[in-house]
Amino acid sequence: MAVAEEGHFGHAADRLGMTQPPLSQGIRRLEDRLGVPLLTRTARGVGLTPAGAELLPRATALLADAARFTEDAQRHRDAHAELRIGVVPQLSAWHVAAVVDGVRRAGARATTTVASTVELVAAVVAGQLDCAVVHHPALVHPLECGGVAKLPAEFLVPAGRTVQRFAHLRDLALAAAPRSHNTAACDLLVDSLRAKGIDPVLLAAPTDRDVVAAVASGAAFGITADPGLRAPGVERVALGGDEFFLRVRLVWRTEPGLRAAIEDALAGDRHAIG
Amino acid sequence: MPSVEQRIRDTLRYAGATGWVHAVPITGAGGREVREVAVGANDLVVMASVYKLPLLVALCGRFADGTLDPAAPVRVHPGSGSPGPTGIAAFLDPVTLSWRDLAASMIAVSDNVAADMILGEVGLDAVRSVLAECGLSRTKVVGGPADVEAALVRDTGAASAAEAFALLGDNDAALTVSAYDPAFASATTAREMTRLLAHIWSDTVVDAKWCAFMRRLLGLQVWPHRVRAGFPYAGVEVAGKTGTIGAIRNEVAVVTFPGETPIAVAVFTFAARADAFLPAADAAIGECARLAVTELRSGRW
Repeated sequence: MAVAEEGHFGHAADRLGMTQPPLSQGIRRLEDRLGVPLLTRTARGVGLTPAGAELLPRATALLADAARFTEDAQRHRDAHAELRIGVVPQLSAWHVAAVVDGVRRAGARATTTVASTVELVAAVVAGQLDCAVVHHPALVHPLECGGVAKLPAEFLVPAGRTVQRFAHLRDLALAAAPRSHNTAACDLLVDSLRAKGIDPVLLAAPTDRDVVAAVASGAAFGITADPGLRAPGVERVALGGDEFFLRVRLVWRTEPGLRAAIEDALAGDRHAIG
Repeated sequence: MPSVEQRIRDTLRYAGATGWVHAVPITGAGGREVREVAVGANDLVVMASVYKLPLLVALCGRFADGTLDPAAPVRVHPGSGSPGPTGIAAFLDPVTLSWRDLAASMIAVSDNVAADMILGEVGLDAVRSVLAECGLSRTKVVGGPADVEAALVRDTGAASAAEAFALLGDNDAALTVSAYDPAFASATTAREMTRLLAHIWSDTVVDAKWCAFMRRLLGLQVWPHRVRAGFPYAGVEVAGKTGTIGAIRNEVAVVTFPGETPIAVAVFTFAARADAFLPAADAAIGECARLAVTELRSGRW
């Protein structure tokens, strides 16, 4: 179809994102199988034989129907099978529950896997997960992604310490996910703190559990997007407006039919902290 | 040790960027060069200001065939072109300069006002002829900086170009704009840009006199933060052209060590972060170029 529309093998191959030889060979094989030539090949370009002209509209209809077939199958799959969702550890239990509950109320069942952004992107690319909520910004190529959701977050500081502005965090380390979990998001966090006038040493804390442990020890501060997180020796402080909120976005290879349910669950938590 | 291609991918990932790289020695018009370093070198990528390179070739074509006088004076009003940050756009008053000096400003500091003037004079068709003549079948130039800004304002729903660029640099917005899509923007492949550089370095486009002129201008480029940063050695010549829009950072250049074959290298990147300033991504372009060029200087014989 692309060859007929473009009138040129090279242009059609470009449009299909392939090279010319496999396209030409594919059409030859099709002609061999059908036992009738479909294209005329001249120096001026490519045209349709009478058989090709008659069969082309039916091929168009067949392809459209195949696309609808796949879409319908996907709708059934989403409705009956479980949706495998990956989440970063920074996404709180509250948010994970909101996502899974949102999927359930949309009539499906979700299972979740917790891993770093780098691992989640690889798992979605490999088809081991249907979609994932990853820390933004991240290298998500070649996946597609939805909009950025900003989840309210607060600073965690050692109890008894007066922290009213960034300068008060000066001699503390930053307990946060290691850079290897997502270089871009980690660098953005560090740059944002440097812009505020502090340049903390990074202490690897992959989960909120590791963050509160480091903060309670008195050596570090951290940031959490968990609205319910309270711990002995740890105080919550609001600093810096929404700049330090947790940015997440949904990534997928094939757009999940329940995308809206997941993204609404992530966006609908504005009142969780308050 | 991992392959140089793997090291290039690791360097880009460490800097938080996706990238496309091609490097090839320029051995002259006759020989078919088989040694190369390629990472996604045939993928379509957005050119940004790298399009000024084929535009320069088209302008020099007009100089060479006598249809445009390189020394003819051109009156330029700073407000008349797109508000790029460099060159004539920084001036408050009108200036008069020649076509060849407009070309110098377009290449040395990526002057958008100069580029708009030159594109207005030579036209897109002349640029397309250059691409066809050089066999760059996958490269397409769809417009100049004024067109890119108009599209950006349209895509972002912003009130002005300045507001559109601010949105482009916002990590919360994470925009998908047509300026980022090789299907809509001026686009090329890393391999086709090294081929264009090879033509300019082999005197196989326009003519020898104007190829020498183009090489001189590319050598005047002022930016030290990308390919040049990979070769901080005395005596090494780096002549190139950068391209930048939002998360896209590119440079195509020719690196010449004294007494050695010049090597053309093209690095195109797309950063995960939207921030307007990302020194790590700029430096990664230099590192990728150095990894590729070093491989061709001492290996792959």
